[in-house]
Amino acid sequence: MELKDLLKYENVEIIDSVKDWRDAVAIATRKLVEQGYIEPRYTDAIIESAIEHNAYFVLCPGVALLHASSDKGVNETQLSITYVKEPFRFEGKDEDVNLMITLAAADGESHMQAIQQVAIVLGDDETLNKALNPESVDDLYNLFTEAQV
Amino acid sequence: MGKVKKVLCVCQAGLGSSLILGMNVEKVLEAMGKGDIRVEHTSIGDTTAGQADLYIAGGDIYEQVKVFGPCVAIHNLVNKNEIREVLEKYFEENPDEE
Repeated sequence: MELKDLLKYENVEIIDSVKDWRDAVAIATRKLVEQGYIEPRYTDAIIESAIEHNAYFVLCPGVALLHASSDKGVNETQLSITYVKEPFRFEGKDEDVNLMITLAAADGESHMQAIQQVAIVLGDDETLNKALNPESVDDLYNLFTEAQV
Repeated sequence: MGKVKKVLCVCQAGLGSSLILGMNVEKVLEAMGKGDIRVEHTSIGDTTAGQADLYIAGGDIYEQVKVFGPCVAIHNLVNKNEIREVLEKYFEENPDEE
């Protein structure tokens, strides 16, 4: 499945700020909980994982790939993208984060193509820069869903 | 040290970070003329010794992964330059046996 099949336009958000990183994780996962893709405990699992493993899912300065294991309350594979204008930091990390890509993977396979598209965007300086400075939700949505593996 | 035929990228959940790391490692190896090396990804919980000739871990779990075998750490998982530097250094220090 391509990213456009696993990322709803309404689940791409640009917000001004978060209270702290826990608030950020709650906001980033909120819609997926409301829509039934994940259980509320998946949000808790991401927070626990961040504490236990020093937010290893910060992939590069600016970007966090929020995720936990499939068995922590994932009902169906889905992604969301949340851009926070005011950067924040995870506990123990010295990189600012603006962009959160939330991955709820129900199994090891169904999200692979979608994540490859995410990696294409983040792996190129020009597109990474666009992802970290989006002008609109359209910008973000198109940037990621149009990426070619 | 034998020839590296398989590398295993490891992250906590084995779903996201290691997959992205694995894709980038594949591209870097190809660019280094080592495209025949197999690249796979998994979670730390599913990692055992003997699964690969080289383990590649996100910086934060390096200490946990290195017990399984030869291991390098990558900090910026999308930075192909860092990946290339680390791998070049590894292959330089551990040349294939003739």
